[in-house]
Amino acid sequence: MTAGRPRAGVGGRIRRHPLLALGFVLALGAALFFLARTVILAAYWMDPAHHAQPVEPWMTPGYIAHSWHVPPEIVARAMAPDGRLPRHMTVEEVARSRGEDPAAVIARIEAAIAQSGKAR
Amino acid sequence: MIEAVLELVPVYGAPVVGLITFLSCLALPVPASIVMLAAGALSAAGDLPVGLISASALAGAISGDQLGFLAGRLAGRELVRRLGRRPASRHAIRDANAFMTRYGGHGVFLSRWLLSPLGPYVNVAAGAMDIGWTRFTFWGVLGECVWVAVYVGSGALFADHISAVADILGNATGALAAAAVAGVLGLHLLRGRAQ
Repeated sequence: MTAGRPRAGVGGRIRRHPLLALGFVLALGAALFFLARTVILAAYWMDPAHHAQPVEPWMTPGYIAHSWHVPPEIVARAMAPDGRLPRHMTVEEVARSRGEDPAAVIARIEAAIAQSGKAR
Repeated sequence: MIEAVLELVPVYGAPVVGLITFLSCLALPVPASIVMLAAGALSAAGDLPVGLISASALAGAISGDQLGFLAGRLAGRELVRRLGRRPASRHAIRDANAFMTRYGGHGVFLSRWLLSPLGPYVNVAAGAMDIGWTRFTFWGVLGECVWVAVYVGSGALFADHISAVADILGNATGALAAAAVAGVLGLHLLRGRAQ
């Protein structure tokens, strides 16, 4: 059926446009790579163990409270147990103003969130 | 890098978001999607004004697109003209021009958000080819509105899962962009001229 035009086939075109064919293979490979990553990451994030957004230095008390579904005062109080409550300051800024390591502030916030969860 | 940029978002707000989207439209490796997601999440928590954040992200993206387009016009046009005269590349340039004329507007629109990794290169290509500034700008602005709305909106909606959303959207748009490139090249291979 297809005999008679052997050089007009896909193989012929690949030989005539090797760069185009290489680009096609590379793009297809990249598409499959990112597709696999999308599936793997979706599975990772579907796992309930990875559901909540971990507390990070850039976050504000309002955001942490919103994200963990706890009252903002609990987070703010944990960030600054003594003194004025931070509102729009980030964990990093609070830690710096108190001369603390951000990790120490994060640990207090996580403890307060866990405590609040138990209380409910 | 991502951490350092994210720390600027709650502190400086809208200008940082605009600067990041501007730089990302010039193909610089800045974390634009996670920044817009974080800004959306912070606005849902009441720490940033959502309107200002979105306007700034949009302004940054549109200026970045225009700069890319201008670079293509200034630097790419002459190159395209010269390649169009050379026998080795004449057909490729003619095909690319025909493709741009036919699908350029929708290509610009989709490469703003659904195929966003291609965006910066499409800007330069659109400037170098004959797509027309009005057409480029119309589809570009429309597409950037979708881009900003999707990312800032997802940040606000999924505030407690922004890392997950960033991971999934980032890789899914990467897969779609690569598949689009493969599709265009594959069609060209299959239906390419037989001579």
